Amino acid sequence: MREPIKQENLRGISLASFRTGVRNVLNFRASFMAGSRFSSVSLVPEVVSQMLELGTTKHSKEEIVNILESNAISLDMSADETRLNIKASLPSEKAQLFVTLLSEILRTPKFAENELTFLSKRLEAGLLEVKQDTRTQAWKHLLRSIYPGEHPFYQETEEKDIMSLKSLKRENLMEFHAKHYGLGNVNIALAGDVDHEMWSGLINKFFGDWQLLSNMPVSAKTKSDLKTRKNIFISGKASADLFMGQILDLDVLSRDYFAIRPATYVLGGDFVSRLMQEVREKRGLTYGTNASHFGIKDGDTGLFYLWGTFAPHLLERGIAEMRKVFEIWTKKGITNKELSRAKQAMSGNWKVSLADSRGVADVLIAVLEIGRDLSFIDEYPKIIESLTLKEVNQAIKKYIDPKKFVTVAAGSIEK
Amino acid sequence: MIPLCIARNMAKTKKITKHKAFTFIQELGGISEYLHKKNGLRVLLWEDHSAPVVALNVTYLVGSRNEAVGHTGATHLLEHLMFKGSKKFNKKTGKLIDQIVFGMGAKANATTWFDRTNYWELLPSERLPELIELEADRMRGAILDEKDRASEMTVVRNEFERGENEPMEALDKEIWATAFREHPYHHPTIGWRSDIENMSIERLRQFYNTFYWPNNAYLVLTGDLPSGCLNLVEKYFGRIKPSSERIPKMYTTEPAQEGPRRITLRRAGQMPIVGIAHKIPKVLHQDQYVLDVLAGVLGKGRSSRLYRALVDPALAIDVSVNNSSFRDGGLLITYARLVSSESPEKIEKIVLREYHKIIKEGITEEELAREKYNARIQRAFTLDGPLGLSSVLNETIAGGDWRLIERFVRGINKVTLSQVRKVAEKYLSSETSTTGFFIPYKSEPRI
Repeated sequence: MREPIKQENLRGISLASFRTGVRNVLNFRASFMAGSRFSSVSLVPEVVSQMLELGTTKHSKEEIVNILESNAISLDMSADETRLNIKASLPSEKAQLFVTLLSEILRTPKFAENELTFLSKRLEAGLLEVKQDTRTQAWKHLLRSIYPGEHPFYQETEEKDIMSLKSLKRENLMEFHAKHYGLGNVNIALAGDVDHEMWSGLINKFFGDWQLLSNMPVSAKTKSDLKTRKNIFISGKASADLFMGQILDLDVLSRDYFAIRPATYVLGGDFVSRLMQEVREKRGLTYGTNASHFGIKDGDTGLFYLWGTFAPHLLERGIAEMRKVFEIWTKKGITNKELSRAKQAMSGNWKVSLADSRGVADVLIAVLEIGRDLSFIDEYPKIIESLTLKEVNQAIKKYIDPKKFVTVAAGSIEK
Repeated sequence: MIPLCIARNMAKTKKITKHKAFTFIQELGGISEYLHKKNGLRVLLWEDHSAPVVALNVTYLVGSRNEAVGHTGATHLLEHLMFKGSKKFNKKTGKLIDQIVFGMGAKANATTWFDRTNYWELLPSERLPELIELEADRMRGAILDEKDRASEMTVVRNEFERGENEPMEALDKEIWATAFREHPYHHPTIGWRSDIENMSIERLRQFYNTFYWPNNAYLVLTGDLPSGCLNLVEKYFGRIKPSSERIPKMYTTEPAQEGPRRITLRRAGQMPIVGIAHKIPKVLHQDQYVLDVLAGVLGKGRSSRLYRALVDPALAIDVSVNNSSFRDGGLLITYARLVSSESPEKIEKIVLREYHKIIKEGITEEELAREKYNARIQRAFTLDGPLGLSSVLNETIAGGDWRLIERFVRGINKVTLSQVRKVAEKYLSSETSTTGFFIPYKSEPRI
């Protein structure tokens, strides 16, 4: 028996669902344009997202959480640079209860003063805590070095974020909510034991009359040809985190995007990648190192980066080995044999990522967000398979320049 | 539109109850258990053809509970070396384990814990024969080479160092080491640093030759299994002989704790952490269902008692209560990460106050109903894809009986209000507690 993915455009909502083999439960994903790029104070969208469940005009925080947890509904909401992202898992029989409550939470939050005070205190503590986290510090400093202050990927210091948090008013949250919460660019994906028609009816009933907005992300472009090296000293850390990165200006719908993927995979995508083989397997310098990219799906200037962890006394050797591997990769590209392996691995990986309803829901929402037709789920392995070595190596040359790398390490390391 | 890669085919193959190489033991919840007649390998099969994907898992009944001073971390270091090569899969034959596994796009890894070591892969189902052959080959044919040990030691040491970076992980190690003095749950699975650095390859070979045998292992296959799956298992695993020596029993027991224990860990950091642990019985003990309910009511979710007492009023960033029970016992541990202005002593008092409320008054019917319903839904989610079920089976095998996966919901459903109060009274006594504070000394990052 085969069942198709079902897709439907409701008023301001793209809805997709797939009935997987699991019974009685399902995964829910939704997103819309209410991320930090839409606010002059970058913390506001995240604070709004965390205040949603802390009381509505109908129900108190305690009542909401009781409804969710006594019905085994797991709900998580958070804001990134562009979107509010909603993830839930629930029993199929609780669909109506869930949609009713979600509608209430999203549409009529209370933003109570006392809850904002408590939340701000917890968030402040969280910000202080990440000051000791080597990975977070290296990552934030990399983004702070590469992107200008007005770019959505720029990262404020914890001190500035704490100051913003302290000056935040209930009115700021309400204003953001009124302006950015609504229909228009809402994507919803469902996978598991799903009755599409019933869900469609519920969504229509509880969200159909929500305000229609036209928030579209304005792609944030930037240029950076920095080549810097920074060490951040954090006391008492047995391992240091290292990031090396540069901007990546690439259209996610272009063929070049697909070409850079196997190239990156060969460099640092799995255990057999060049970085893992040279830096971990042969030299034993690290537990983990990889290469990846970030932030290109909405047309922004994204980031290409390498990452690794090292004992402080092995850091310099680690950086030298990573650079060596990276420079050979940019200079000579990858081989035909490596491309064949990457193609097979990526196709297999795609299949494996669809093994459960959580994986299917993640893929569905990702495809909806980049605006592709859902047939892309079938086409992706074919596109990867069709790539030529020339295309892949040209993409490396076109987009990656080892002379423009910013290197940041954080740990118990001196300058 | 029909996406072929996630097409469903619900047809199931016929269950095998007779096989020339295997004895059919039992079926429970769709999971069939077989025992290899000659070498004692146990096989668990569960079919689900809704995605063309299979999870393969080999669990060896050896973990850090089988280690002692001088070779702590041996199980884990050996697990790393198991990827370096085996008789058929090595540099000389040109068939490298990682290249084969990751080349087909499998998700794969291995993990080690107190009671077990497991090797798992989630792979496109048509590639299953290759990985069954590979797992069979490294069961007795692993190449354990000194050169590989030397380079992998520093890899594992970096894994250890990364753990040491995390205050919560460092405190957790201290609490287990204090709560368990004689039983090997005393030391962390990754081992002590000096043991990781100095353990010899001979010791690791000895460890491998003692524990890596079919009669000390389970093979778990879940998902889109091919017909004739057992024949495939027989083809590759069937030729392996059982161990000639009996697998040694771990006989050290932890004596009863005779008073509360306390530790303090001081390191650079920002936020204090409080950990309060109490001894609990082994995972197969009947009280475990009740302890699961108790842990849920105390610390699972935002409606839990400790979340409301600590996180809602912003005394803590988060709180968790874990029923961490293993083959030989374990700890019920509450961890709270505090906001910096709060004192650990105050938080400890609040946690103990909530414990005493349950000891005195029990929990409510509403709380019990919530835990029961959540257990049922949690079980339903384990059947979502082959990897979830395989992972849970790995842990129940380690605990001593894979059927725990089926008994879990029934056991939780039988829990009564009075049992929760009695069990809280029995196990949350201060006499068996170990309390740990992480006290940070302030140190600002500098560029």
